[in-house]
Amino acid sequence: MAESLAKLYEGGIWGVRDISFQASYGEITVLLGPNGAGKTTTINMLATLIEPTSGRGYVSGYDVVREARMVRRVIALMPQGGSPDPNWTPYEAVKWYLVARGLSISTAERETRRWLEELGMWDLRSRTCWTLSGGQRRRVLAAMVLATEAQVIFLDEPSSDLDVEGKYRVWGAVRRACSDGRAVIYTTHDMREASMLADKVVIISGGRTLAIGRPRELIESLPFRYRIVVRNSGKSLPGFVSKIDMGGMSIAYYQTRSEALSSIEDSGVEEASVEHVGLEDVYLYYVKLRGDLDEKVSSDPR
Amino acid sequence: MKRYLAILASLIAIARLHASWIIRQPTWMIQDVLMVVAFAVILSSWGGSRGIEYVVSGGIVSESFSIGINMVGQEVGFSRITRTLDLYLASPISPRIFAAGVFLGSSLFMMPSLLVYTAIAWFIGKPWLTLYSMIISLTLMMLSTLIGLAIAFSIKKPGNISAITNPISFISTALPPVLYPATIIPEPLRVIAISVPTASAASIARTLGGIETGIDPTITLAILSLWIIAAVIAINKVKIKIL
Repeated sequence: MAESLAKLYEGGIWGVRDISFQASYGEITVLLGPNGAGKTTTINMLATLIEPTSGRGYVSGYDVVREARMVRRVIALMPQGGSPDPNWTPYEAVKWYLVARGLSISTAERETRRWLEELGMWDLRSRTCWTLSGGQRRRVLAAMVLATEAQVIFLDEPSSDLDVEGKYRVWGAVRRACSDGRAVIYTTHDMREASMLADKVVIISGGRTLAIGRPRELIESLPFRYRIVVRNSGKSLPGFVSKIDMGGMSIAYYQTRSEALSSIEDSGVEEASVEHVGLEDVYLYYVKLRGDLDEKVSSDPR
Repeated sequence: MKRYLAILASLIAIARLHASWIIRQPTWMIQDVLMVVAFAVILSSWGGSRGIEYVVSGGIVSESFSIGINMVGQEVGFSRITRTLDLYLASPISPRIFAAGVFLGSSLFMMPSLLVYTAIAWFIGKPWLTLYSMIISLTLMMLSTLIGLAIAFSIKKPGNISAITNPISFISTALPPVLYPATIIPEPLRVIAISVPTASAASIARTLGGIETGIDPTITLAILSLWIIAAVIAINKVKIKIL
């Protein structure tokens, strides 16, 4: 649990300014935000790697500053951009890390096999990590963390560098770890990943918590239901609730499907389709649109 | 008892992981053994049996110091680069156990050359010289490990760690009177030379082994003790608490 966590780095740079959320056992809580939003700083504070400047963090009821040693007994962390030592094989990396954490050799061997199989790395268990791809190394690191006895697992962008199969493997393994009753705190900036995995989403931007909720609740809370994505061609879509320009593309938002369809007809835009909004739109709404929209709504004479 | 066994298991596991590079590349140890043999040949040709005595005591001291500052320091620095250090720190494994495990794993590197030193000591009729040198070197290894850890944890760019630890190791083992007698240095400079921890340790090892050094052992013992106190203070100043 994070309560108004803030971190001011040397040189006066804010890592995070005000982060609050609560994660639960048996659930995957996804911290979703753009690069530099403060996801890693938040994770590192909760994992006792750095001390918050203000605010409080609790893991399994233990204060992350005053009871850091107790916190470390119940957590495991997969750091962002981490990689196992190139001289380790996947098997020895997972097995000996588990023994170092206090598991017996027989339990460590059993769990190593289980999680390397789960992550599709069992057949590569005897190769040194030097010979593995970046994505395969990330899977080994994920196995090291997921195979632990930790009740709270922090995974900082675990699927970066992973191909499609690797991503599905990691997602499946994370879901399995969660079904063991553990709390998983997972960071990403990938909407699709968040949609696939999250039981709860915490949207972070500029070092602040912008929204918290279950993906369905967040989607339903949006002030629009449909969207049209079009290539910018000089023809503009009328009647939208809000619109966002992203390079050569635009996304226009509508409250009803008929409004969206008539907008396409009126504009004469070709190759446009009406879609339901999703988590990506929740993200864009909170990170990019909300300020503009609030302004527009408040100045609307209706 | 159960707690101590758990700590021992943890130490061995970390040592096993961090000795992987030695296990995977045993040629590193062949290079080390060949260097010991080469030193023995060079110093015996210049200094006769006295030269070989200095190879045994000075060689063990040099290598022990190098293991702490270079191998442990670089291994921890590399763990910072790969971020595996975060896996250890955000876990029930205490930084102290992690550091001790890395130290234990790195020490494996020295085992083959220690056998060669023992054989040489037997050959020259001073079989206990290896043991005395090793005992004093254990203290030196702890000191150099503390220095190595202090550098590894505090350096801003861990990729540059060897650029710092290698020169320190070389300056501490090749320049001061570790492989040669301190008595050949003129008096005002001799005290400065002996104040280097490796030189003090080598001098103590020789005194214990019955080799005349011309240096008062209480001075060298005091110097080494001061170094250890300074290293403990330094490690407590770095951000990650080791002790």
